[in-house]
Amino acid sequence: MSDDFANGTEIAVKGLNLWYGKNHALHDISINIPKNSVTAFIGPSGCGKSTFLRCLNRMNDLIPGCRIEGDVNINGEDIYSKDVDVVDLRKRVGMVFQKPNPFPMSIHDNIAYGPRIHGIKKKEIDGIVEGALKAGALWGEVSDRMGISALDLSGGQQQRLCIARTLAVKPEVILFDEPCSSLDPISTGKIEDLILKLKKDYTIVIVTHNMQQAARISDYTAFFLLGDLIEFGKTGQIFENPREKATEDYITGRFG
Amino acid sequence: MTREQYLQHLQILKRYITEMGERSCQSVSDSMISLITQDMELAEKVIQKDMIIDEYYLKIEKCISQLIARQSPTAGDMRLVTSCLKIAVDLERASDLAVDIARITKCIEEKHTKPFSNVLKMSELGKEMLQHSIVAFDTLDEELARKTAAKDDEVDRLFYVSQKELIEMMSGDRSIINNGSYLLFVLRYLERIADHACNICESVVYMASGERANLN
Ligand SMILES: Nc1ncnc2c1ncn2[C@@H]1O[C@H](COP(=O)(O)OP(=O)(O)OP(=O)(O)O)[C@@H](O)[C@H]1O
Ligand SMILES: [Mg+2]
Repeated sequence: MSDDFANGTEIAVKGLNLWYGKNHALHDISINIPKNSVTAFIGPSGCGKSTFLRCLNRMNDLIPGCRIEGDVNINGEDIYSKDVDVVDLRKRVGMVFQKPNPFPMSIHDNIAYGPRIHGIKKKEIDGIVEGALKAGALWGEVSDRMGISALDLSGGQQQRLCIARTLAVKPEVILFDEPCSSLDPISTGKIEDLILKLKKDYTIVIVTHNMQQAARISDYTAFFLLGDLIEFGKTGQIFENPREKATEDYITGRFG
Repeated sequence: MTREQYLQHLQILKRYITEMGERSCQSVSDSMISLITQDMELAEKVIQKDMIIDEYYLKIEKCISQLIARQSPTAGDMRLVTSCLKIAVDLERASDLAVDIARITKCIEEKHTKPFSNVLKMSELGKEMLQHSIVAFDTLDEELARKTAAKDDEVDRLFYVSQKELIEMMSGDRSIINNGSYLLFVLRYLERIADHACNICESVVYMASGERANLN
């Protein structure tokens, strides 16, 4: 696959196959994901978007019976090589899930948790917490109540907290799996604006069922169907003039 | 929800239209100067610069398909986007007519060129209407749009009067038939430029109020 991205390639996947037991869930996926851009994964339910996303930080390692073949390189490093430290990998490749999942502790401690684990000194922690909450577009709403439980925040605030928590450990890549599906339009708009800001400093991959969301915020779009990567291209091209009929049928809602 | 990127995209579209509008006005104005002063170089410049205007048209079309495909504009934004496509067509046509006038500059025989006061008045009015229609677009000024479109009646009147005068002159003096018939075309082109300005004014009214007005 050619690599003519303005900022170069962050993630290079070649010939990736994945099985859950006998279920061959991903078929020979090859894709280059560009640096400092937003790449959206779209496709009908069960096509393998989340499975593929989890391949990018080895979250599938945790699933019994899951077998993977192929290459995944992040910034030139083979992440499936034996000497990769998986904990360190998941710090470099952070993940935000569909349902906000704050830890049952204070706002401050939610953010401080990661940096503490990674051995950051106590006196630096407060600065990191503030920086991450600002980058997560939440600081203004919580700066005067850092001690309250994170579970007392609204869903949209919790999701931004989870994003801030991911940012606090300074990742290179952030994977989002349907981050807005449990949020109202206003919170969704805030997360979208935030994602657009974050791409200056991070490479972002987002799974979304909301076609308009993919169209609005992504630079590149990948369309998956039944475990195959059908089409990958600039979002403008995919939504204005897709090459594949299946892509067109899906994005125009003519599927099935 | 600010949708910064989307708002920027709309701003870019508006800027393309105003820039294209300024260039169209310039072409119309230059083409008339080239005709009146028999300036072949200026006429050639108008013809060459039409390429840039065509490029603007393509840029605008592309910008609009991206906006529709990716941002699903609604309400006033939607009226803006659909109107911009129409306005770009009107501006592109107006510039083509300026090129037609510039081509006539090159055909006219110098010795017989005689400034024709009504042609000058028409071209002043046409230019002004086009300019004001773009200002009305830029400032979303419905009143200015309506006022500008109302000037079309005067353009039409001048067109019929001058056409009649010119035909009478030609039947009295066969030596001016060549230039005279070219001038008839110029009259027609100016009248159509004013019509395009009117169409733009209608688009502005639609953008501002949602009303589909018939202003000419
Ligand atoms: N933990 C798992 N164990 C076994 N099979 C799984 C597991 N997770 C997913 N699968 C299977 O892999 C295939 C792809 O599922 P996946 O969750 O990746 O789809 P998806 O595109 O994310 O769908 P959705 O849009 O509904 O989230 C499905 O057939 C699913 O049943
Ligand atoms: Mg999923």
